[in-house]
Amino acid sequence: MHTYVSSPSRALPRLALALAVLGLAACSPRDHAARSGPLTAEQAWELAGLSLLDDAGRAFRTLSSESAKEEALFGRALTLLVAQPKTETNIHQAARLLTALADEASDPGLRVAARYYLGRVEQVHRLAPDRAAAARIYAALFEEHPDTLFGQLAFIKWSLLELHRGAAEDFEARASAVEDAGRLLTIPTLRKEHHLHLAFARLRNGRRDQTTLAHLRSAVELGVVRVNSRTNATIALVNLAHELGDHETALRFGRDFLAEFPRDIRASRVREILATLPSENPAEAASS
Amino acid sequence: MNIGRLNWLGLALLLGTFLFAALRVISYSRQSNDPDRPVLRFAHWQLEGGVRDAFDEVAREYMRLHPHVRVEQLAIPDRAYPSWLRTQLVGGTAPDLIAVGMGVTDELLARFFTPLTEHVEQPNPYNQGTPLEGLPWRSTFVDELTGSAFNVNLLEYYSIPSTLFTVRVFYNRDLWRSALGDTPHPADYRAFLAICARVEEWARERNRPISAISGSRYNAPFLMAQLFRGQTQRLALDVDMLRTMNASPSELGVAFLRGEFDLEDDAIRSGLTLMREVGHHMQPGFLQLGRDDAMFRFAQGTTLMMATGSWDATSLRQQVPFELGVFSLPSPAADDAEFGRFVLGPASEGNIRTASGFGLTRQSQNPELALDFLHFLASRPGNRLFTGRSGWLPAIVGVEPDAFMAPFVPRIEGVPDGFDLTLRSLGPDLERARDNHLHHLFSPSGGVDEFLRRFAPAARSAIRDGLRMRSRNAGRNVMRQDVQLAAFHRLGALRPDEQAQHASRFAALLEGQNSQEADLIWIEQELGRLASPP
Repeated sequence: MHTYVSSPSRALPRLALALAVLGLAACSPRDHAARSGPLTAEQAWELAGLSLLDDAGRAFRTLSSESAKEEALFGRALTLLVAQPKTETNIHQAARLLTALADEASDPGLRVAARYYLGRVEQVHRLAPDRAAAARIYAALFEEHPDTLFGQLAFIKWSLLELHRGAAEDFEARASAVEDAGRLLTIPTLRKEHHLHLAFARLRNGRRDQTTLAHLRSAVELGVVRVNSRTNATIALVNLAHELGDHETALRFGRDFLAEFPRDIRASRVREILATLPSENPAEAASS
Repeated sequence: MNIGRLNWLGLALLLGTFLFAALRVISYSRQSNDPDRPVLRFAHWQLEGGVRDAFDEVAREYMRLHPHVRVEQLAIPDRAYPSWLRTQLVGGTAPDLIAVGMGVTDELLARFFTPLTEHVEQPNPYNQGTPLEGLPWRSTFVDELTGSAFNVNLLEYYSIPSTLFTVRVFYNRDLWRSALGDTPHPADYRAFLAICARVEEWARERNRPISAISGSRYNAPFLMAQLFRGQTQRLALDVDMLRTMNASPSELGVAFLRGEFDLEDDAIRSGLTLMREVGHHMQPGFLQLGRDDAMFRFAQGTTLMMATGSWDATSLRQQVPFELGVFSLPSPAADDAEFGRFVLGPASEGNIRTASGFGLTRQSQNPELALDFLHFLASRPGNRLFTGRSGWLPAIVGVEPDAFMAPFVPRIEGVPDGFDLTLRSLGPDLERARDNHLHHLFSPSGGVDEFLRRFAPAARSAIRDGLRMRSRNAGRNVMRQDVQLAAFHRLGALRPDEQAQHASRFAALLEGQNSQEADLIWIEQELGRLASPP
């Protein structure tokens, strides 16, 4: 039987190994916050804007300035919602901070924003989301603050929930309610969102009609920002206008599409549609 | 030898290795930190033939223009690339420029790479004296950088591409002449099948073990998926509920579950029939073979044709001992008696975007220099050099590919393609279900019916799982976007002079969030409806 005894010949390599491990540990990179100390609220939001949410969370926790206290609480609440691993405790704490801000923040804009995010907590962040509760918060917020960004944003989120719930037979009534309430929107970006999602929800429910066409047209005219979304919305508009015999709309937006996206895989289809329209086809226009 | 001596030997080896490594690091650091000759390093995984030479040539030309700079290329094998990349970035030893794509997540991009958005809106100085002079850099790319260069979640440009890729059929010209004489390239699927049959007949008569097509689980899908998609062109428009002529995987999945189409649909059966026909012209057991096996058989001259991408063109030209030819993947013509009724026409490749881009790391010791090198690489003269040597397709407007690559230039004219059996990559479960049963389609005792009998039950459940996965992924994105949206709003409030910039980012991100949110709510609603009894 072999007995292992610690000896100088074995201790030395072990010492070397231990030193190497310590050396490696000393050389390991330290996090940004540790190197540069506490950040400002703006820097913390910059990290959040870059989707570096853990770093942003740490930065908000170390914010000590009294003037940035509410900013820090708001940032902490939001980064707690996405902290991993996701826990009931974090979500509960985030909701508590948001409730306090919604009730007591000195900045009225922050109070509205905090209420909006309480709706988001119910809709998407809780481990067991409660869409009905979220819809109630959104509806109340829009009713009380219809002129604010987060009030109108709450309406958009409410409308997405409203358009995609319940039985298919009730869709028309719900879509009409959304359409009516949406007339109060004043911020162009959010009006565009309203028209776009109302149009697509109608299409998903088989409504290829003038109402859908009007919403699509409004959305495209207000300006869809992302390239993919803009191509899809414009193509849908051209196709639907063509199907419904609205030649003027098909022609105008078909030409716009070809000018902006000549390489798109659907460009040849748009050219085909335009070729069938009277004003692109002089002989047909003359006879009509 | 006793244990003590072994320990001392081990320690000596360890110290020796350490000393050697330390000397290398010191020598390298001295070179890197020489203020009179900064070193610029760029890393990528493109080990295909000609590409490293092309990067070297661009680097040499850049060093000729800037003699005080040294440019080094690091070519990392693709299998090691993701872990190498992460180690370098986290360890703080990353090179100045890194090929973005394999293993680079949004988080890595945000944390370790510099956004290039403001630079792509400025003219590229190396385009001076060319017709692209004065144009924003973005507008000098053939796709105006609408591909992977722009990160849709972070709303920034993070990479600058140098090429784009298409897929074609390569063939052995020598074998073609021997077996087929001066037969022209096949204009459509029927002509392609006739060529397959003729070359196999020719080989049988001479007792030579030749198959028409070199297949493998890597190559075969290029050909088969295209044939299948051609058959679903009309069906894709029929189930296009949003009228975008570009139904998303989720829309296709829901349409399937709603019963708007099924696997017994004539178009689907027709697509499977085409796949089976083509599979019979590949070497037996092709589904068990890998990319290298297919390449090896083709290079050996035991197959006439092989479908692969433009990325392999230069490697093939260097490796095969015969003259290479290229033609476009064949599809059934619209007037084909059997398959034509499902076809709208040749598919457009206008949605193929530039690729293989480099990102600028935040750790770069010389970011201005690295950006300058990127400007050169993606300028008209730089891209011409790269393209000429690599044999890859150009990414910059006005740069002509070399003559051999002309057939690879994307075909812009054409119609939107249909969908394949994965419903445009709905999810991994559906792909797995297809792959698990695909051999039933090709086996002598199998066929379309046998494949469908096995695949259909698995497909329905895999489509449900794919939709659930998409909904979960969208949910995760939406949660993170909530925080980003608040960030853009607060930054706009805290920095009034930057309000317009943050408002525009808010609007773009909100559009993306609402779109994903509407999708996820709709998917969950549909899954709920379809699960409950009518």
